Amino acid sequence: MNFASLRNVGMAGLAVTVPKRVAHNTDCELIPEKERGLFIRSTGIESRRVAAKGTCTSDLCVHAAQGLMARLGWTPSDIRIIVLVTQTPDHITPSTAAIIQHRLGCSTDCAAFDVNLGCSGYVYGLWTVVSLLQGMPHGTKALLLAGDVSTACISPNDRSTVPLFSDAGSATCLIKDAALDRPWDFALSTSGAAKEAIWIPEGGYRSPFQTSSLSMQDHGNGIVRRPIDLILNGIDVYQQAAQCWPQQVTALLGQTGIGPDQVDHAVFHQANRVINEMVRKRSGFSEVQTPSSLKELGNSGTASIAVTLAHCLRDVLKAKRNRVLLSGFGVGLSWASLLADLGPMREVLWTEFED
Amino acid sequence: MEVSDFIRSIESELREADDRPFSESTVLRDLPNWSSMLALLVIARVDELYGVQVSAAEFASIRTIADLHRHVAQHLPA
Repeated sequence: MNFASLRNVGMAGLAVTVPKRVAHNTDCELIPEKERGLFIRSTGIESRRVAAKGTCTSDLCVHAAQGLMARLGWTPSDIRIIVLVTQTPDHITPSTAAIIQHRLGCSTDCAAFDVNLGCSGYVYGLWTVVSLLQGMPHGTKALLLAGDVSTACISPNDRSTVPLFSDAGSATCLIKDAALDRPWDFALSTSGAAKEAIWIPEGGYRSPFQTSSLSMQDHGNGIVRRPIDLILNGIDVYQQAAQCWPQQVTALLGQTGIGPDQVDHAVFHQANRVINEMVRKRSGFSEVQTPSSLKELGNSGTASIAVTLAHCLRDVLKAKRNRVLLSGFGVGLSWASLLADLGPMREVLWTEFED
Repeated sequence: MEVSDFIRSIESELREADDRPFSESTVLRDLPNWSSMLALLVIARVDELYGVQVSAAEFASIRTIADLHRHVAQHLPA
């Protein structure tokens, strides 16, 4: 296992922004009508949030960040670090974090860069920013942004992806505080051997975009997609996760000497009911301990842990200190877990983006 | 493990695919409501009950319930 333990950082607030438009799986024409009930029961996903064409990750994350900073009384010129974790950057280059630095009106005295991760990305993002703050002065303010417009990178004709994904953006305000001594304990893992479980084959530089990249191909089972669309091999993802994910959570708890019954809330990346129930049960958490945003928001990608925190735990995070386990598994393949005390936070916001 | 016991153990997932009785010769992909989500449900159930994993490549070569039963029986943890 690969552990890290860090201190002296606080989470001042969290904001999530989702598109206003709701899509319902009861109406999803890619699924035969008689199968929609089973699909909803087995995935746990009834509805999703879908951004309008042209809405980008930076739009959702800027909306979240501006609202949160205003409520916290943070001025953009105070921000010294912006890390954006996303699978759907606005452009291939430059980093979307740099674009956001400008859009927020931050000073040029600000480090800003993207991290190319997805479902494990919120935890990896926290590890990145908390680690970076270790070398910064007391009082340094940082923004962790995590979000995706997943609906833009999947084929509109792919039954294996369309009914699963939501779009969302999030902003988390973190501050270096020498007086805060409670640990952030992380476990971090990767398996590039399983890269094809979740990937987009063409459009990078290994397999550059060409005319045929836009060619829709029928792969059977309702999967019709282009080589530039996301491929999600559900069975392979499940099997990899079953071998690795709960084991990492258990190892992290063992490392910290905390038992599952001592955790207030276990917040997992929201993939689907099958995989989420597997990791919950095998990690030793009850249903009460394990909130879910699958029903209303599906798989909200890189933002899904933040989405679940804001959607399900807003009041307790604002009211008191909570011992929280955050854990994500996904594209890479990559998986990461965090045990930390979160709250009481000044702000936990949930907003909608009209586009 | 008898194949009839195996069928009973995964029956609640298979029922979503068809109301009619199953047998070891039932071809999974020929079931009326068969889908990739159902495949995942069956695989997850097999993992949960028997501790046996079925990869996507292995599942591609599994045709009947008997094939699935054979795979599970051959890979039961010691």
